[in-house]
Amino acid sequence: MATWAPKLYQYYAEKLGQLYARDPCLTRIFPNSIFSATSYNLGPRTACFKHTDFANLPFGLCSITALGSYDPSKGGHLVLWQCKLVVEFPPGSTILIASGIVAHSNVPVEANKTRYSVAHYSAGALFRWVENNFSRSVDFLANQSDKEVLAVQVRDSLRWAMGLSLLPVFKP
Amino acid sequence: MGRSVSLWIFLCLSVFLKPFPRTPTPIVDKHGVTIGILAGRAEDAEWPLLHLQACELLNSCRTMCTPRKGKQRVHCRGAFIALRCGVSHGGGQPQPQNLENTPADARVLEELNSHPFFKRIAGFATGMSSGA
Repeated sequence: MATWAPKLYQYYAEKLGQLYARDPCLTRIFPNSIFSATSYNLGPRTACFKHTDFANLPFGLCSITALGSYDPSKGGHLVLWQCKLVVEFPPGSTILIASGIVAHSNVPVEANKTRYSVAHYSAGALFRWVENNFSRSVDFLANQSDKEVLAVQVRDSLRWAMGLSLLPVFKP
Repeated sequence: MGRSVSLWIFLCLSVFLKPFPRTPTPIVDKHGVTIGILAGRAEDAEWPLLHLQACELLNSCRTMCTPRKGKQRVHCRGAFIALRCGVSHGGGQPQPQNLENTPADARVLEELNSHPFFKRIAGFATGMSSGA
């Protein structure tokens, strides 16, 4: 992520860094990771149903790594529904996707094959918690003056544009 | 002469033994905004071996974790056991918290999290360098 989406990486590092600094009880499973949570899918023939990870940061990226013993031309493909893309996903390789906004699923692998997967992600609510001065939105807004609430509303209305600006743009 | 032949054989072999070159490829929308990156894998000679070890570990973990019953066997993501760990917030949690697990699942997760393959994956996904 740092190489391909440096601005997004910076955003993660800044916000999640503040989160961990504020609450030492929160554990970092992988100190070398920018993601806050990890999910292991134990198969033995892991194939995800079509889903969108609405709890993830909408303009964020999550990482999926496929493992196992299968022929990537015959199964295990990643399907990105809105993009109308079906991508070969060889075992041992990693794909980063905006899982919060793009519906995705997997093609099952052949009957006698195995497929496992590992996902790294960061819940969008963690970023909101930090931006709300380490409190829930209801508590945060209750303690703001009318003027401050207005400022928050303006910030929120620009949030999607801010998020998109963090993603790299490649023009053909 | 013998030396140059063996050097030649070595060079030929090294071409085949080298990890297949993988060019990371972005997926962009019609405006050119990146919505995904096909990252491939790290150029790491140990990758195939570590991948194999990780697969064996994942396979053995399935019987070591807390057995799933009924609806837990098939959840909204699919029909497989999913183990989660790390920090989360939302879904009724009043504040960001460490995800909790049963003692059996926690033991399994500790073993998975300490395996070099998964440590390197975390680093690779973060930086998309070798991640070691």
